[in-house]
Amino acid sequence: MSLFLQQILNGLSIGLVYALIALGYTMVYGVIQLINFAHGEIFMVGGYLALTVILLFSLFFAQVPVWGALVAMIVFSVLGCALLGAVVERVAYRPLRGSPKLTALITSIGVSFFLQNAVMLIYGSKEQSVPPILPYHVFEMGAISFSLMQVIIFFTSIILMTLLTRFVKFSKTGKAMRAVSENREAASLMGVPVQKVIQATFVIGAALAAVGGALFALNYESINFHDGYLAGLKAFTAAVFGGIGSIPGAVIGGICLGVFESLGAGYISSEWKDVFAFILLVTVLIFKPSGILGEHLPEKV
Amino acid sequence: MPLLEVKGASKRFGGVSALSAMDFKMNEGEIVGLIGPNGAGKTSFFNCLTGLLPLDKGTIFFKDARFALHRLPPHRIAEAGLARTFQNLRIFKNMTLLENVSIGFHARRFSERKIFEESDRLLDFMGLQAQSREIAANLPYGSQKRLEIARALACGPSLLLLDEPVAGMNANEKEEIIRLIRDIRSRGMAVLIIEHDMNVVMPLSDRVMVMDEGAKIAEGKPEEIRSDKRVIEAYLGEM
Repeated sequence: MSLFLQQILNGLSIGLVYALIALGYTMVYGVIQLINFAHGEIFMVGGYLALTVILLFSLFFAQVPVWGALVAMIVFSVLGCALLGAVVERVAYRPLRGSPKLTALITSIGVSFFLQNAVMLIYGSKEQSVPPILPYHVFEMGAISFSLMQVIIFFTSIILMTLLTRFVKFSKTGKAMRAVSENREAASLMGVPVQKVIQATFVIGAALAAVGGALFALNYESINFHDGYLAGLKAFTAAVFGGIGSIPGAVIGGICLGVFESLGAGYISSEWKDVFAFILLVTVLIFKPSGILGEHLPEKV
Repeated sequence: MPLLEVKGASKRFGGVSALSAMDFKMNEGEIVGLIGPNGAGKTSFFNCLTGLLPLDKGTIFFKDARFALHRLPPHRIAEAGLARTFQNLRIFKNMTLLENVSIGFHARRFSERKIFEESDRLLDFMGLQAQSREIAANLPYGSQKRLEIARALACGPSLLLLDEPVAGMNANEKEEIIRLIRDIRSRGMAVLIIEHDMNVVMPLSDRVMVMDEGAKIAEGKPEEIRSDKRVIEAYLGEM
């Protein structure tokens, strides 16, 4: 029983990171029906930006308290990735608006390769270790235990998801996003600047992925230029599982995927962790391709 | 000075001419009916005015040539003061009525508070206030049509384009829409209406324009149009 609870807890924290990335897939799909395969690389860049900040702090500002470094790390990777998201949208996808969906999809794979290789050239192809900045603190609760890092992941993700939900529901831009995702033409005829709204969607998705990347790098204490590939694919799985285009779907999908993967790793073998994730993807695509909360079918990719 | 001035507007789709060298003027506060058989190019004309279809040739000037609509993207045209409804409803079905209308206010620099109040007021004007928190998809068809007009009014238009506003409505609902359109005009807006129902267009319009095969074939007062030979041949004769 304690193994079960422990694995659920571990699954929850990694699942929340998947959910942060999955939100970007699902939001972009919602507004322009594009599965942005470069999104995983934005997450990876977020991890590298976090690493950069940590290295800078350990070199020059060693006396700064831990929380200061943590905040600086998240702010820097969020800003960097938001900018990157905006640039990718402007340079790679906007010129293709109105062209067949497959064109943009292939382009996103191209952007993904470009970002991977750009990072490899800058930081090298070897795995980079991320110096631990948080004190290793373990909380015990009966038979289960969890780390300080897990607590941070939990609260950061929940806060961000709550903010996002409120933003999409109540803010002017959020409402415009929903309008664009329902009917782009009608929205533009009502005075909504569609290009700006699409760009805002990319920026928000990238910012969330950046937080995910920073937390991921801190949690695993290492980062590699192809980490975005697997994490991106899993987050994509989570988005499809929850129903692509649906924001609560992405959160539920991410958590379910993390828990499923973690239970599989705990009870069967951790070597098979990734296999479980993709078993989930294949099962969903066969039995309920629209996902748990989804309305329309995703493109076959 | 005219509110809207269209000169030589042309649009072709392959071999088909959707609009050929259209000239058209509208003044402030005027109600103009646009009639013609199916496929005459009426909706294409709306699409060109609102920026969905770029013109091949010609110009569209708005508000004493302050805006060259043929060079603006759709959202700038809406901002300039030209709003529309659609022949086939294009409301945001998964959003509430209040949210639908508040989208219309997007381009106007209002505070969230003001958008809320004004949206509420517009829903009230359209007789939809009681359902303001409902999801648009759950409304009956007639109310959805009224919602679309409310959303267009939220753009604060000087010219409102209505594409078959009474299609599919019963006699009472039609009366209600006619009353609303008169009310809209009395607030200083000009209205251009595509409508097949002659019992609606003729009494409502100050002027009627008739299109056939992408061209204007007649224009004048409703009683002149009724007796125009070409119009009877092209359109009214069918009925």
